[in-house]
Amino acid sequence: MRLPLTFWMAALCVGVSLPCPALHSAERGSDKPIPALPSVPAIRSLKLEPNRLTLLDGRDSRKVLVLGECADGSWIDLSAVARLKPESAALEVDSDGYLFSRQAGKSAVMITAAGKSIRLEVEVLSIASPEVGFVRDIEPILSRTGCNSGPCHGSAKGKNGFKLALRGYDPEYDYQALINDLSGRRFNRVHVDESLMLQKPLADIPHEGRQALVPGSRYHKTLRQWISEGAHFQQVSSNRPTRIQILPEKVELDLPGRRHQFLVVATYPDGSTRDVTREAVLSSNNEEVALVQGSTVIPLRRGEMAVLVRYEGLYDAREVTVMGDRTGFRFAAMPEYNFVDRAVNAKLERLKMNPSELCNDAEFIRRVFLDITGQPPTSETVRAFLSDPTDSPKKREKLVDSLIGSNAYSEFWANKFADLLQCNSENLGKKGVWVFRSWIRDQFATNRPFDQFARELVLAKGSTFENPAGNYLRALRDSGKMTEDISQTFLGVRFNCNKCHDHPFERWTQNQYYEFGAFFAQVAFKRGTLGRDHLIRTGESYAYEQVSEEVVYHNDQGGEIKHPKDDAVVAPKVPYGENRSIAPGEDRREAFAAWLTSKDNPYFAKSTVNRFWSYFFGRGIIDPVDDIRAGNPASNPALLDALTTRFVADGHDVRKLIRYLVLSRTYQLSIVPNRWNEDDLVNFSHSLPRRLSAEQMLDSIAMATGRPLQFSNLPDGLRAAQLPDGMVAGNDFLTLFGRPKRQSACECERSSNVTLSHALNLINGKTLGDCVNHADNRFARLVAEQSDDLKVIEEIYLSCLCRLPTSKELNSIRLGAGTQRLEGAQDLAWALINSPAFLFNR
Amino acid sequence: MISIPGLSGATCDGYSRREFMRLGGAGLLGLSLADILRLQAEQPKTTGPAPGQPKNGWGSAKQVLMIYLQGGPSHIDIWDPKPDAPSNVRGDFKPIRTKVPGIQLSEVMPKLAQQIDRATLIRSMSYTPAGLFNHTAAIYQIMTGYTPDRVSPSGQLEPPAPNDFPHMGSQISRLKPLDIPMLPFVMLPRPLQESNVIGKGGTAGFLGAAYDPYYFYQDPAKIINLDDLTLRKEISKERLDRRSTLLKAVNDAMPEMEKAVEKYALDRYYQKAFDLVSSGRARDAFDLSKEKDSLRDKYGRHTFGQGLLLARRLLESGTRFVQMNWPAVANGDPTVDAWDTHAANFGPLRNLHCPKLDSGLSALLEDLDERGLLKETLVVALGEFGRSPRLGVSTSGNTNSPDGRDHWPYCYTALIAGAGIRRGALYGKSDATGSSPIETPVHPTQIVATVYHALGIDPHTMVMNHLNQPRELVQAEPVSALFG
Repeated sequence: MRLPLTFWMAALCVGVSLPCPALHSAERGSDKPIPALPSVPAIRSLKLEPNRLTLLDGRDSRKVLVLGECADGSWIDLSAVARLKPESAALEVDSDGYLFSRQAGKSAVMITAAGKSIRLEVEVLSIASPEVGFVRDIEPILSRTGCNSGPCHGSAKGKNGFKLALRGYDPEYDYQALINDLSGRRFNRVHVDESLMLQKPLADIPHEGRQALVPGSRYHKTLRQWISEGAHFQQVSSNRPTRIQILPEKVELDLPGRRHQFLVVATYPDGSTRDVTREAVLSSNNEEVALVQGSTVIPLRRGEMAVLVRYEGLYDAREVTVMGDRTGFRFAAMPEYNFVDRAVNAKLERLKMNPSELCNDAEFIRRVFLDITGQPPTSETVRAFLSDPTDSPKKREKLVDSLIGSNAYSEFWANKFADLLQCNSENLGKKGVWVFRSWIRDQFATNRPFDQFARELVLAKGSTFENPAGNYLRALRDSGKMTEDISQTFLGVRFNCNKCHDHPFERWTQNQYYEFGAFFAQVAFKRGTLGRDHLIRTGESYAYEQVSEEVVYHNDQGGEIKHPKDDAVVAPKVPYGENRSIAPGEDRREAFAAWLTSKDNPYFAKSTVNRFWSYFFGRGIIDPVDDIRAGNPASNPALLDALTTRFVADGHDVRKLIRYLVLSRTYQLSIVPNRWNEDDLVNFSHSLPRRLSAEQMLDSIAMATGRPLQFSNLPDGLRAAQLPDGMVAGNDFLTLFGRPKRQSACECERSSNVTLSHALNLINGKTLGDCVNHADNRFARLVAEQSDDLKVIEEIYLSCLCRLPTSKELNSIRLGAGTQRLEGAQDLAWALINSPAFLFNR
Repeated sequence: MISIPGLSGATCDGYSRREFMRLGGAGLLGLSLADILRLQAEQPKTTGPAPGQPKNGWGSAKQVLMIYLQGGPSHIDIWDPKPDAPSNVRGDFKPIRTKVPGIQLSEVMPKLAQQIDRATLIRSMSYTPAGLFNHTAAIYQIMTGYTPDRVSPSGQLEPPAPNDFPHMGSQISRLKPLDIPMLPFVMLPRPLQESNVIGKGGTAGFLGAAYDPYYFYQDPAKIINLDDLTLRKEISKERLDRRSTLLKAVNDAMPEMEKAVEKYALDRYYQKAFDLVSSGRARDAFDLSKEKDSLRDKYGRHTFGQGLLLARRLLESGTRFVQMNWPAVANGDPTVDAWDTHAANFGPLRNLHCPKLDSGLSALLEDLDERGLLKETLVVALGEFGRSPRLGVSTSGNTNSPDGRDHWPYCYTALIAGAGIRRGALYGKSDATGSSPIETPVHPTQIVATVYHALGIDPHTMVMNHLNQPRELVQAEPVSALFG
């Protein structure tokens, strides 16, 4: 554990150059305890993955996974203990369990494990040794051995005069560096073994990166052959792999400690394949659940994780479930109210979890009011709902239908989207925020299909006063921010790492960033004729406050994106799929918008339903919702797909989507877990309490205490959710509780944590203090009008927690007499508002 | 299952890794929780450094002020001038003499030059980043002692998460709790940040939210809102106590609700908040109007200067760990006084950044020393890295203007003072271009270890994470030679 430091100290003493640890981070020693190997249960039969092998040539070597079927039908990996016995001398097995051949033709291997045997047929097409190529053969070795990693020659300055492209993203550059730098002295084509390119990594001569190649190893032989054949380059386009496949398709492990190997197979443009397991980098996305060493996953505890695989610029992931001991479990499915529950049930059954009970009517009405309208119900509404004798499911449905589309609904959702669309006066001026917010509100009030909503925003032209949708691009301002924010908001994909270099862990490239931006390069803004700017004096400084309009227009004469590497003009191109061609003089955004909202775009609808899901369930099916990538898989892909399909079929109808969500049984589960789901945070087996957002909190306080809110320069009685401007000053409460300033497309700009500052503010702060103690509030009126203490207490519970007090609560609370009666009522309200039952949506 | 370390009282104050070795000899990781509890019970209160650990400086500090210059200030242009280096390295600024013969500073730090006799400059800070060298990863490392790849697969650009390693201030406020009603750990005046990643490395991570710093995110150069810390007129102390009791009763009637929000540590916060409001101590500490105008002017009437003055007041009132973050964040915009000077390094440093840094730091050192606070307060000022000696080159993959400097973690400078740190001294040395240390390199995690050491906490103390696995406070040794 101490090694890295001493290692580093030793390094510094020798001077500028730092050694590069050749290991990939995924392979560093772990400080986590690794559970012992569980014993192997009785095996019924074996199967192989893949079930037959074809060796292409004399340098090809491949491996199969040996899987054993247990009595219960599950499969465990026996590859590490399997014995391979070739049926002829033509086939050999190396120390990694890889087969290679000395003779063309058909042959077979007998494989034995756990007392069972199975025969593997192997066809050898040729034993010729094809020429070693730089792109297909050498570059992966440079990556695998770490030569081109960040701390070594892949660093921006290279190392000791030798620089390679980081993790091999530019083979042409690397080849030139190898062949030409150092006056071409890296290769000795006559005395091959005297090549610097061999002597250095073999540490025959001093190499600060230590010995990177083992003498006599496969990599050594390949490198040597390449040099002896003349160290030729290869065409990149036909020799970089086009896809990687991870085997097996599905991995479910019964117990911590039960290891499982993977195979990684690359496919090339000519259709040929290669087993690249040993050159690929495999890592864990959740090291608490499982580690990955080499190509083996080692589960540590019950849970789910993904193995991330990286090879030559390609990325894929394979999900792994670690079941753990579930002795005694019997699945008790929840009743399926709609298709949502079907998908959730299926996942819970597979993971051996039981869903929680249904929440009660009082819990439901508060939850669904807060989620759909951003406000709790009034005490009268709660009373009416609880005393309504209609069947609970029916009255819940009726309630939902009355809330979706209500005024409060439109205000609340306008507020949410005004965040993501960055409606703030710093960007848009004072009038801008009003017109833009009310435009957003109208979209929800008229239930504008979400694809049309997005199209209008992306394509907007003209006066930002007359066509308020234009305020979106106006707020983003430049094509870089448009690229990053539009991708994050409407695709759920983060496009900011690849501004400066290819994304190091995902497939997005730097080229794609600028190609995306090129669609917006010709969006231009000019000052309009409406409104004028005011000169504002604050202390010693003057500033123009912008209140005038701007005009968004298409400038077909100018505006091109240049790639920062070579200053070449970049043509617009979408990062995946295809956009239709752009006619000369046409606004490029048309082609972009068509691609963005197309039914075939795999991210648009999916990221949207996932985002809406998170608003109702506290986390996305993919979470964070605006960071969709291979390394961040969905916890329930079938659920997400089902929602996406339905949303597209419904014409991107947001109201229908919300209705499916809240009328599902899954949404209506209690926050109380059971023995079989108490460790679940991601599969929606019980409801997750969510701290009220800043606006929900403030609006709830106003409603509970019966005090209308007051914001400076705004009409009294405005809800917090109706504030048009992210920059509104003078309300520290909203800021403290995490209201975003609306400067970012990231959901993370809004915070929902609880800290000491929040506790201080709620205990002693002005906002709640003024509301609770106001001479003209609900409690003052109650105490004056209602002589029965029990009725007063009941009403306070109803207005603060949206439920009736239990008889125990009712009986344990005394209000006091005389002037103390009002104080008592205030104190009770104060305590209820400070309890988690108020602070959270539950 | 959610496990809240620190809440059960069943974890692990004050036993060290060495203790395990001595008592058990068995593999550390094989210990069960029961074993650990037993060891904890047997472990006497530490009175001196663990065997083999340096004695120098042990327990010399009672409190810590971390002045965090986020963005990565240019060491060559501030602390470690290189007048003899080529022009594309030495930059625009000339060196000046200071009060201490043999120590030169850049001309943009004239006031600090007169106070440098109270501090040590470590000119050999150095590390090699584990992954990409962005700000977040580097910030996380200096705050927690660990690199973020220990908690997240990509190692960077991830928001704060509950499994993060704790900020050292959180560890310290837990291992050395205050016995007065005061905020143990305050962070001001804005969060740690790079782009969209806000607050990474600035939380209590796996210790649970209760050990998060008190985030005081207001501008101390403006009027500070202290409403929350001042008991309201109509609420007597007795009434506040009644309310506290009532709240507990109300919550006790809803045990399932309490359990469902266990991870938010509401109880702890509320208890702390009640204590703070009742005592009024924190309110007074935040009241900068109690300082003389002349002193306020000396610190500088800007966020940084007034923030440092506020930090001093907090320390005086007993806060264990104060972190003052530089008020602007890395964004490469030359019109903002952020240290991330990829573009236009010199003009902004001369006119925007350094005058603030100079007045704030120099006034602070003088003020702390004159009040006798410097004796027991360890002051550290540094950023996440220095900046590239060569102008206009790209070292991090970012684009730099010809007069900009890129990130440079291989060699930079930290200022450290107080709690027995040598006065008017240099520690370590950089080469002719400020590219690499040529003697006694100091890794940032060693600064973390030094902070623990100075507070009398063994840096190798084991603390349980959220999965009840033992984790060392930091895997590095303190630099005891810094102490005089």
